[in-house]
Amino acid sequence: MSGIAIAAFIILALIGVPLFAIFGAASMMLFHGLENTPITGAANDVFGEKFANSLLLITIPLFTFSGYLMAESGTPKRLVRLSSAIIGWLPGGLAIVALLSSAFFTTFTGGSGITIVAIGGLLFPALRQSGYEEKFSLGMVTTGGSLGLLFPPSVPVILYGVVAGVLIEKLFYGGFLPGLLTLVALGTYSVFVGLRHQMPVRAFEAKEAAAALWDAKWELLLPVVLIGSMVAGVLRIHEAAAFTAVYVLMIEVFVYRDIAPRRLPQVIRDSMTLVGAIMLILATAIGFTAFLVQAEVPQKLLESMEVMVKDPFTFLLALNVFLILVGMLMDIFSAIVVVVPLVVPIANYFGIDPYHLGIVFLLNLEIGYLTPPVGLNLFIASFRFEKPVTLLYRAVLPFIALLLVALALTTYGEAYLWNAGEGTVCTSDAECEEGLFGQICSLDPPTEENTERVRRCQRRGVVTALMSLHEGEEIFEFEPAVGGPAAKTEEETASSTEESSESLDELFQEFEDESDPAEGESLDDILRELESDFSTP
Amino acid sequence: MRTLRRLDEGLARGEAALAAAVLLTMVFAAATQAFFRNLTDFGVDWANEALSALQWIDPLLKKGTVWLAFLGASLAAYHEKHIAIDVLSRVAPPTGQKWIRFFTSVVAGISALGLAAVFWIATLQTSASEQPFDYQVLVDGNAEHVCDVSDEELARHQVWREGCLGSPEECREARNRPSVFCGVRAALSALGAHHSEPVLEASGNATGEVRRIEVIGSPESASHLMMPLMFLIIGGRFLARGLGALSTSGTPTRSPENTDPEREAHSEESQ
Repeated sequence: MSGIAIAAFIILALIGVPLFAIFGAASMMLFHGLENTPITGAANDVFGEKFANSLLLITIPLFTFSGYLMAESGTPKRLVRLSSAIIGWLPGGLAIVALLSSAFFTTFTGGSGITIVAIGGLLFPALRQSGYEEKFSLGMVTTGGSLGLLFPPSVPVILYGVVAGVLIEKLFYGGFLPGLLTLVALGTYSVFVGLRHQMPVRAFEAKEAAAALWDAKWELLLPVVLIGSMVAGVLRIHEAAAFTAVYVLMIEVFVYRDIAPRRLPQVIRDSMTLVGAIMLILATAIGFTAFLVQAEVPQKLLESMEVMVKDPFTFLLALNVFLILVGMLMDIFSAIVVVVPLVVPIANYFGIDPYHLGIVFLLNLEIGYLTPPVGLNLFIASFRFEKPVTLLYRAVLPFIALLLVALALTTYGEAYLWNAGEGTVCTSDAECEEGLFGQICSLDPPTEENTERVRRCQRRGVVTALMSLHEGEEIFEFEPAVGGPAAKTEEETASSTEESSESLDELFQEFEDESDPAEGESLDDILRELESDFSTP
Repeated sequence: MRTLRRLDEGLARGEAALAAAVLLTMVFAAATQAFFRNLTDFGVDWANEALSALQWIDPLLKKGTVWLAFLGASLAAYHEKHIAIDVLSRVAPPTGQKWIRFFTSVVAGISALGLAAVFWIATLQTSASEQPFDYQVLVDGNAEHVCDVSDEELARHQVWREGCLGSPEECREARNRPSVFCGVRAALSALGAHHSEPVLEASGNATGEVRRIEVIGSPESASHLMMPLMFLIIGGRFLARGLGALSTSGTPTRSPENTDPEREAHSEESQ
């Protein structure tokens, strides 16, 4: 019965019924069918911590408002001026300008296509004028529409944290390296294109650079202050959102005077329209999630997957393919709300770290935005630049390929780094039993009991740090966390660990080669850090 | 028909103005709170007092977010910016688009009206479940709600005036009935809310676990009534759009964005 209902709802969604209506109808149907619970059961959840009583959700209207304000003001112009003054001398410099200003902007707008309109609208003509091919320019500004999604204070990351129930700060922390990786990959491609076509570069003028820097100083201060205060713990996330809104409001209205106060209501109306569309889905999806859980959809998915998917890596691969499809069909906000509750239990089963899952999830959706034939940003770009969508399909292909490489490295390579960077010490079997991807088990003191516990952790694929402070020597053993699902027998797990750890090493090698050593921490650095952490009692 | 459209337009304008007021209030309230919270962290004494005087800000932010969400949702219905998967209507021929538009709008409208009903019932059910002690008056050994006891009864209950340092006779005063609060509560009663003792244990929810039902007071409950109200408006807008899709020759004419047939229906993006 519930299978038929779900199929019917999927068909309705594909015909184009607004998603909130589908979620609402589905949850009403569910609660109508339940005997002990009144039909209002889901509504009570909406009044509670998950929606009406949540202080975190305030970030969605506040950051969206800030993003819209910046889009409506001279910020895009100042950002473009600054970055072209600073990196315009590089081969492919203007393309990198597009890349960086898009990324900066998307952190505030959350990849909802505003970037394409605000930054792309400025940079597409500029790219064409300086002689970049139409296809490349289009691909660049379209890709830019979802780039930078992983950096703070991106709203999709916050929403993911809310829905999945994980710490938002840690998500941002985990997303930093993968986000950087996408930028480096696309930047390298830009340099390559610039060199091959011998694009004109502009000479670096210190004077212009300084002037541009001075001009954009208020905007540039924002991420510095914001990230700094969040890291230092001065501002909690919802306060940071309020701070951003006040700050942006002040600089755009009173300092730069880009937005006349009487234009504010219109900006608020436009941004709140988007907020309403997102949050209504969020509210109705609370009931829908209950519906899915009631219909045991995650379990059924898991059962049907078990036939084909045996280990975390196959699972991650399947997840990648599935999420790109999702990202293509849905916008990122609905995708998070709907799919996260489905995926998290399955990922848990396979022992995937919740934060790693989050980053992979978001990066996938970022790519889904661009994926032909129906990725949302393709249509926005086609609409904005008045080009046929088919041209855009071809234009984004190289960019998608690069992003897929970054995704693969993040999905499979970062698991390694992630474990190394985590530094949690699990001190009981219980923590080990949770089988979290990111745990590090310490062996201190090296009693027989502890040794046995660490062994158990290792078998479950949990990274272990074996150490003995008593004998003045430290031994670090890093097992890639690729242990099988909890239900597996030990032999199976051991063999699969061996197999996949080989491929992991290869991938990791690749990752090291690819990424700029100056940009990210190398494993050695992390190891050293960890060592010092552990050796101070 | 024209009157209805004009009414709708005025309503949308009012919603936008209200949203602007709510948003700006929230922005400055949250920033003020953050400012004082950090002052207290630096050990400024009087900031603590300021902060405790600003305790109303947290509920304001939470309720404000809900209001923004639903005002925005209603505006999204007006400007046709609700998020939908619109692969089909992108590729369909004009006649097909007309029918898709009719069908999707009517389904959305019915669903929204259903949600309005559910949220209406839910709001009234949860209303007036005040935390008992704050509003209790003991009458003949039984606790009664301060709004429910008679005036004479209330006059016999004397309370210590806050901060009073004089003799007991000087400091006692008759307990006041919080009139605004009781007014809201009475209004909710008139709408059909039942003011029973809060039921803490529900029999079970969708996931099969027993959990607490939210305890929500009258004022909060009254603010939640905007949810069914907005669902009602949203539902009305979708139904009107659905009927409009069939009656007119195709292109709807309500908002300027709609005049472009190539419009991205998937458009939560503003131009």
